[in-house]
Amino acid sequence: MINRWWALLLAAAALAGAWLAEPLLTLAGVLGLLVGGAELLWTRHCLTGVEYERHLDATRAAWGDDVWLTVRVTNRKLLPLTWLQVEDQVPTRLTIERAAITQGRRESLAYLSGLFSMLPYEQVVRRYRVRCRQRGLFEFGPSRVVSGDLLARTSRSRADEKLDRLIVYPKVLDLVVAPPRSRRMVGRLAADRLIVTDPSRTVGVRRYQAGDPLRHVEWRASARSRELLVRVFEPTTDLALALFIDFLVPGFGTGNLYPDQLEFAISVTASLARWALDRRYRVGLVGNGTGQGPDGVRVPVGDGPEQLRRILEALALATPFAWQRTPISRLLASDAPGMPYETSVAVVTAKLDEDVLAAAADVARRRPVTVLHVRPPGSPEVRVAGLDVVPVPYEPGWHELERLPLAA
Amino acid sequence: MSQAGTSSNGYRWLRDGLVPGQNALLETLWVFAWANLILASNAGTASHRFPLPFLLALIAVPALAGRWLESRVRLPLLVRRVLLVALCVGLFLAFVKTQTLAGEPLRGWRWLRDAFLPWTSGEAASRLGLVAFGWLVACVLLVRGCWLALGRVRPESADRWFLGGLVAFVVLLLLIAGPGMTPASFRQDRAWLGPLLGAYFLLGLGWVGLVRQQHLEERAFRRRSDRLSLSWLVVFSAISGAMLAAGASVAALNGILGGVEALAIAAGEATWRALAAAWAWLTGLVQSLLGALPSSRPPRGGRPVAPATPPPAPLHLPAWHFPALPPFDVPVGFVLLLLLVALGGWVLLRYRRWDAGQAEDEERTSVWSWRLLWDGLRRLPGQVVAGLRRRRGARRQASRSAAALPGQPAPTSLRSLYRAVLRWSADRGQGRAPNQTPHEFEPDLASVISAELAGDLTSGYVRARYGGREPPDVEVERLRERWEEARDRQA
Repeated sequence: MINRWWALLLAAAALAGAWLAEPLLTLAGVLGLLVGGAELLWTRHCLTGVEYERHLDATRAAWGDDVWLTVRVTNRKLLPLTWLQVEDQVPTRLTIERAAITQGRRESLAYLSGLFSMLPYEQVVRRYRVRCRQRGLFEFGPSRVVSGDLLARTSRSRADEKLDRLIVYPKVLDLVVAPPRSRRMVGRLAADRLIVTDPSRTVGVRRYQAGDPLRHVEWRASARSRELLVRVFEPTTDLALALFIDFLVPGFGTGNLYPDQLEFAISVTASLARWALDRRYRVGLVGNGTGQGPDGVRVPVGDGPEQLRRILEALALATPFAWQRTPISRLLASDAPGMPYETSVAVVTAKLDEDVLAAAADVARRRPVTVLHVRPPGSPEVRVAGLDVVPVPYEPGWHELERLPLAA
Repeated sequence: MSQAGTSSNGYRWLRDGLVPGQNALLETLWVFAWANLILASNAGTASHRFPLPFLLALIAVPALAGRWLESRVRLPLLVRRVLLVALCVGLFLAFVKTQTLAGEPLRGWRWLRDAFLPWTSGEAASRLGLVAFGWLVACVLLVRGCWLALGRVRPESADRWFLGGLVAFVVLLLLIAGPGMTPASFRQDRAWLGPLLGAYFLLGLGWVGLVRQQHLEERAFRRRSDRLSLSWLVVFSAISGAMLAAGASVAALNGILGGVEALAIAAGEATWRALAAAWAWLTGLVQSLLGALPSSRPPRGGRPVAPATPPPAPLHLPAWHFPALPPFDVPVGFVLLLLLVALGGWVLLRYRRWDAGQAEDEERTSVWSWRLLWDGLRRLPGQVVAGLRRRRGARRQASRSAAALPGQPAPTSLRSLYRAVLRWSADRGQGRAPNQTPHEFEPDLASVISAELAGDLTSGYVRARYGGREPPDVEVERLRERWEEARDRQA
């Protein structure tokens, strides 16, 4: 505001006031010079001692959780600041309550904006509730701090490249679904079968019948009961479930980067994984989206304590964008044959075409296959002889669902 | 037409009430001082004064009512304008009647003729100067009021109006500063000038800050803000009050400066006397030495011999001049004002939860400690030296780059100007990354030049580079001048 000529004029006025013993003239000149001096002082030192910190109270969250985002601005110097603007890049897909979010030049950019006035040695802490209603990997940052002179005529800025990441897992629903089948005759889990049983797992005795092998006679029980008894064995199996998810949904690529139908399919897949792991099945995941690692979306079949977290994380980080997308039918053909013998395959897809059906039918000759067809209401139901195709009704309001019954 | 001029925007008390109202008050302050001086300078109007509230009404009423009509009342444009003009005419007549033709009866309606044709009546012709000056003041203030009603106060224009008012005060004080320059009837008004100037400074700085703050909020949140941030008000008032106190303290040093001046004069006088005495002694010595030398006989005619050196001329030194100390009421008044501001600030800080716009989850705490203060003070000299070094280095760099490119023509197209700005910005550590678009780089550029200039340069460059629309040469020249001004300011 006070350039060189103004400064000269005001200095001349102040000196004239001093010479003529006119305090008001000195005052007018000095006040003008002070405004100019303050502009210089604040412009140079406005960002000295200013710190900006951002903190998320969790790095991983389940769908529906609330995470607190804390923003801390500190002015560690004697100069107060009439304005300090903070722009922190935040994800557009998450809702941050009571925050001033401004849209960036690109649609994918949004900024958490804050305008502060700060006293000397003052710290301002603001807390925002982040509602995790979208799965994915979300980055907070980089941030930019801008301040300047008293009247905001000049400004200085400082960028901070630090990023905070938050992973939101997909929504997990309570499924009502028939258990998968396995071809393994002996395993760790009880099976609903009569013919082949596991001779290592005796569950009781019964009267001897003609044809029962003699090595199955329970001699001590027979002696006590004075009739010939044979051991009854439990039928067992070893169940594993390989989840194949197709990231290609109808309508993808028409501007909607995160189709809701795909989000629902991912949620169904996550729910299946938890359902199976709750029943001590081993679960694996294969998908044709883009994951964090070089293998894409891929979690080997397993049942360790960390398996659910691995699967949920892989689904959370997966995106439908890929330079060269492998069709799910080709993934089925390439990955399913190499899986353990007891593995049952579940294919979750919203785009059930001939190729997928043919690949599923091919796999079904060697292992049980269930196709979960995520379809909007009104779309035709697909029935294929010799293949389990389970319709999964997709409704736009599925986010409110807690339980999802699926027909076997 | 500004955005304020459309009723669809709705009435906003800050934009349509506080800002134009404060602007009106500011301009009234310096107009009041000048009007009093002019009235006091004229023998015919020396005893007459225009009251401050009436002058304020001449600007504020059209400004505020016009804003209200424009943004709140759903009437056709023509009707709104007619209402505004009618209001101005009413105010004008009221001012002229009460301030220049007060003696004439209201019901006689003769005053109307005297107001518009004063030379036709002998009674009014005797007060022609007062009537004419009343006309001038009323017209100027009403036009300014209508201007405020129909246009929005921009940050750049706010700066200019504030500085213009300050200069008006400076010129007025210069005019009456010389001995005998203050008209006799204005001496009583001089006592008001200090409070007027102080009020002008505080209100004016606050007004410019408010306009800038609104602009900043609109830019930051990309929406209109109708909120007066209490924390901003506190910080700004404290800084303005401190600046006013510092200015008043310096002004109070006038007496000390006068003493220093008197001391300098006395020292000069003593030095001059000592030099003169030494000169006289030396010349006497030389004379006596020359007298001792053998000389030729005097001529027969008995022609008188002139002395070798004339006696030193008497000195005309300036009289001792001890300027009077400033009256104590000015510094005491400022100190009291400062105390009031501090008290007000404390009250606002104490009850700042009243601020409705503040986030509920916001906590403000102090991190002050003696160690922090001491560390800051200890680092201060180092920072000053480092700043000076950086400045000298930048100057050297600038001169080196100017020498390295002798005779380089000034950039004539916008694209070459933008490239020159990029090179200059990169020299200052704000280089554009290869993956940054011009718009992504704009905030970084705004940190080394003003945000407005950065925006104009970037949008102009993008239009020229990607839209194929080269701006006219005049526009490029104007941008180049603005950039050179910003560059020179930083050098």
